[in-house]
Amino acid sequence: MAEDEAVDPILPEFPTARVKKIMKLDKDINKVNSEALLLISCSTNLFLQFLAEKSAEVATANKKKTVKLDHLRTAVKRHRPASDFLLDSLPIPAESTQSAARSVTDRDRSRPVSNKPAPAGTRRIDHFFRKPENEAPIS
Amino acid sequence: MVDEEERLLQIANVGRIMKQILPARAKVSKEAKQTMQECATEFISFVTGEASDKCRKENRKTVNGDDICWALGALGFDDYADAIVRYLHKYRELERDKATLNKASCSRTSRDKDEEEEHSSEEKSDHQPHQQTQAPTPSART
Repeated sequence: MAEDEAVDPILPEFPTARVKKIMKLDKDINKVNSEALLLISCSTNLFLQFLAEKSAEVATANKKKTVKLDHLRTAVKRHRPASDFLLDSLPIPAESTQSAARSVTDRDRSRPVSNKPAPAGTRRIDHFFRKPENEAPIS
Repeated sequence: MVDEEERLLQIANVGRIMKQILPARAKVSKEAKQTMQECATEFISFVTGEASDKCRKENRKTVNGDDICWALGALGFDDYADAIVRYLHKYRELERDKATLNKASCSRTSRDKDEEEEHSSEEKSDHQPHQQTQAPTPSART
């Protein structure tokens, strides 16, 4: 019965050194004792298991075999404590960036300026940013 | 300053956790795995930050296990709090056993002396009174 085996029977594979590094990223954190490190590792493990489980449920409900970012996002949205701190950190999904890019190119031609003709006696604002062609030079 | 990779849990660990949970044939996109890494870091920072704030308010410098338990409850992760408390007790038990084993292997000559030391170290290491297991008092000692 080697003592080495009993070193970390609770979480044999969790990278506690990395967890400690992540905790220390926050400069306000002074010291963390070994119990705290253990409990954070355990709870992070539980949290990831939870996310994996819920994401898989969403994927299955959508009849997909591959768990994707959207499934993860939906799972996070449905869990109040997680969504409070996590939703803003999730990356924008590729599909919606593509559609956003499309709509931007569509809008490019008539950007925020409306297509309505300017009222008489006034100039469209984008005239200021165009080289004056027919206008008299300022003296 | 900090390597981008160092602020994330290793993707192999994340992958392993997901594999344990998901059905055998299920797959996970690389993007989802990478996002899980970020989620882990956010979670760690979030809970630790909360625990650390509590310590600061109470003028303590070291975040301990009880602070983490409290933070989990305060942030809405009560489901974990129960499992975590069990882990904590088990950890303390293991630490106590380790200490006992070490002492037993160190000095085998004077056993009486060992018993006295074990008894006093048990009293020291049990922080929670309700958990304290009293060693049977030696009946007849000369």
